[in-house]
Amino acid sequence: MRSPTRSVLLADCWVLGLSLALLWPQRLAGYGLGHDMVFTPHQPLTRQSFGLGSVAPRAVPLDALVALASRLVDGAVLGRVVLLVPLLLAGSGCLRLLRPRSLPGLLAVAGFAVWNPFVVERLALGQWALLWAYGALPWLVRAAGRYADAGLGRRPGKPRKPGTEPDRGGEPERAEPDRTEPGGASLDPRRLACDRWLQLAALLCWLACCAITPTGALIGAGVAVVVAGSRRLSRLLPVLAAAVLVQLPWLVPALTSPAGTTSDPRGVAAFAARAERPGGAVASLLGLGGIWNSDVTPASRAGLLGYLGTVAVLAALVAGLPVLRAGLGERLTRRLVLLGLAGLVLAAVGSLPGAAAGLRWAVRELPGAGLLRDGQKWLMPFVLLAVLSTGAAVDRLADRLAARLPGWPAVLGVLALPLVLLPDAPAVLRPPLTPVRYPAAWQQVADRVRGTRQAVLVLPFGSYRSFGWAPGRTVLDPAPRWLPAETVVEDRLVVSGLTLGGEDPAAGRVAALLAGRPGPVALAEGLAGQGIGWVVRETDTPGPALPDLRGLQPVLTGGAVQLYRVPGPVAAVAQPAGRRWAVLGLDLLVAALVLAAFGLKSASATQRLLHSPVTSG
Amino acid sequence: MGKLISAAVAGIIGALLAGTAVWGVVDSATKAPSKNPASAPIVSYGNR
Repeated sequence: MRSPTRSVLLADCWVLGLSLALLWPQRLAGYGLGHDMVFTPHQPLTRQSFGLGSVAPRAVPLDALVALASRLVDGAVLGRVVLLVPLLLAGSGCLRLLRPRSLPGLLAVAGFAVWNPFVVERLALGQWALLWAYGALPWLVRAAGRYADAGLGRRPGKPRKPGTEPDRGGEPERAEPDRTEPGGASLDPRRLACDRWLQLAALLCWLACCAITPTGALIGAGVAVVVAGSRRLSRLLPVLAAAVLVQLPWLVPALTSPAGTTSDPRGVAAFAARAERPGGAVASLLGLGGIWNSDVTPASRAGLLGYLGTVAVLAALVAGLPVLRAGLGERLTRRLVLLGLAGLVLAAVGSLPGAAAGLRWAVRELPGAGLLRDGQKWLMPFVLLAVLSTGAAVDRLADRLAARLPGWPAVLGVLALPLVLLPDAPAVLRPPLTPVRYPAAWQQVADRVRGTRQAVLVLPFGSYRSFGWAPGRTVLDPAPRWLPAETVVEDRLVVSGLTLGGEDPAAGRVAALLAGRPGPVALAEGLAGQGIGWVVRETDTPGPALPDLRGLQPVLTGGAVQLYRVPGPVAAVAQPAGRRWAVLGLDLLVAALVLAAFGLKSASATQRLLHSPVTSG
Repeated sequence: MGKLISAAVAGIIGALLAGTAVWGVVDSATKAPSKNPASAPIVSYGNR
């Protein structure tokens, strides 16, 4: 009989194998550049990286973290590591959270956690940072569950046999917690308190992993509070504090930003979950797909396999939830179901007629509600629930079939199932994940503007590019992640021919200037008046018509990226120092606390490892 | 005999599933993209 450790190891290998298969295009040399994903050799650390520019802080603290990391390693290496890690985390985390008893169950969890429409569609859209939240989610659930149980004499997430687990029946706390060790010895209250702090440290670390983007931070906070939530304030407050703490790096810049805090309500229809096939958006969401962008949706989602995927998820939920209850306990399962349903509802809101009107109002009137526009990303907790249920359902099925059939066909079937349901995942990922080689002019322009205090305008004035040297994909303008200076780029998005309003006032002023079709002198004066001292022109990409640049001084021309100097005095743009110090100070505080939590948890794990008895055989 | 038939049927189904998966992955990964975004005059973030 195969040992449990060996089975888990096999499942981990399956996670690694599938992850490498999805990221196969990355074997080629170059930098990651596809849709929202932009990696450059050394991303500069600018004020915008911390959300201190005039742009809405959508990629905060992500940009700062990438910029800091790319000071240590080249962006080509970093780009590959940060894509692989969340996939490995998701697979291995789901395995360890559920701990199915059979090999088919383990392989089902491992395979489905990595190879599912949600992961593939978000990866194809270049939103790898959101997948960090997805990868950290099972670990966060595990840590939050352990925090909730710390001091109650049990640890969730360990394999249990159905029926042996004392069911808390959804009660938040026991009246008489069992404070005894398995051997019967009483636990020291100080040790219990210490254990709870350690679990809180683990929870904070995983929350921080989720919180590299605002959406991930909010999802992580919701999951942590719901799973670790308690009626006892002394237990709830530390979790709430951790959940709020990880929001600060993006929340404070957002609240103090000159950028608009409300968004274009037409974005609700543009970014709402999409029906990938006849049957409505909710059916697509139930199959874990439904991203708004048809360009990154695998073609198979539109046909029979899409329907089969939805049926498979529903069947897994029906068959797997009772097994989940037995394995994870009633309380944790109920909370996971609650989170999954909440995620499903949030994801579907923009696609439901009455609810969409309400969301449009919220996006127009309420600060920050624009985060809800892209509905499908909120599906994440439901995806976790579906993955765990699939593993539990397959575990149950394998148990029943074990007496009648040899094991290997079931293993083969489970290995093949995610690939059969989504066979074209590699195809949709190939263009955006195939690395590119930047033309040499990018580095020359970056070197030339290094150290400038004046802003750089990037033309063509459009937010997305389609470069000849990066075929088969549209990409976010890489200039802000190449140039070590403040950049002014278009932030209005075009979706299906509809131009959605932006939020950056600096970009709005440039758009107004360009809309007036200024002559060469008027353009130079207008830019200088806005504090723009440089203009970068990217060639080899379609985009809006260029203004007449003859009033500017050419600095570097003839290459794929051209640089012009705005002549004459350039207005200095005042930057409020108070905002800068408040944001940087809070960032440092959050970083210090997260690092301290990581250190505490690492030290404890090392100590446990050193003092664990050596086992043999 | 019954066990042998069950094993054979399960094996055939498993092999079919694995074959379909491999064929699907290889076929889709070697297909040319259906459209070229560079042909659009204004680059779009995406299309519904």
